[in-house]
Amino acid sequence: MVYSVFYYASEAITRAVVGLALKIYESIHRRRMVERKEREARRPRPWGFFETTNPSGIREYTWVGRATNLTVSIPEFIKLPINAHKTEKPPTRLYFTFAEAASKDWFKEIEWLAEQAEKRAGGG
Amino acid sequence: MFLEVVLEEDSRCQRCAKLVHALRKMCDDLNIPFIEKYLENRAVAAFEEPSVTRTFSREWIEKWGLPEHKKSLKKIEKVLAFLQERKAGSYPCVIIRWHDGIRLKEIVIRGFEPDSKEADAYLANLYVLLKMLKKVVYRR
Repeated sequence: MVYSVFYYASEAITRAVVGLALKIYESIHRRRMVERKEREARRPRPWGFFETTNPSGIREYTWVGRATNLTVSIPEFIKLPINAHKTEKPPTRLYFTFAEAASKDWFKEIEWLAEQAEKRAGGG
Repeated sequence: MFLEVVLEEDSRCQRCAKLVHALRKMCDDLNIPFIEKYLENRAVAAFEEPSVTRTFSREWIEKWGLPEHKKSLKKIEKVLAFLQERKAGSYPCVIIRWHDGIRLKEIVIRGFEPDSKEADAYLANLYVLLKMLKKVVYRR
């Protein structure tokens, strides 16, 4: 009787110790779960008629499709009854030096400068 | 919609000559129009100046410059006046110009050092930019 009590007690303790050691080992070597990042919701693309100026300086109405990338331009030779979105932003020109263009962060810089230009053109 | 690369150069500029080959090869590879524009002594119009000359002026920095430029404006004011007096240009000057259907956009990059370490990185950056712009402009 006494023998079996000692036997079972020592077995339980051994199991606990070995189990704990295995759990610690597993937790050390466990791969981290990669959680899926929440993507930012895309802003809906503007669509419809836009008042634009083509490279030759002629004002025109440009239709930009909603579901497709279809673009159609109609030169404004006569007054057309179209309620077009106004794009009053002027042409953008960004300046860089050789050192800036050769750096790794050049593309970030372009984005940042373009944002500044957009803000300025928007009157901000 | 269009995308083009313009190189403003001077016939006496050796750096420009080295950049021309690399740029032309790049544009041929990507099938983008490449235009060489000679200024200074070979300019078509005598008054034509490089597109960066106007940026070396007090007025330009006050209107378009970044806050950092405006801070150092007082220090460099005399230098700017001197550069404007001499109509100093900076060669070569690469202009990447595109029209995305709504308005004209330009990226102007001045200077090139063919023997520097950064030359390869510069050309690689230009190639990536042109490839990306081609996709954006022509949506292909």
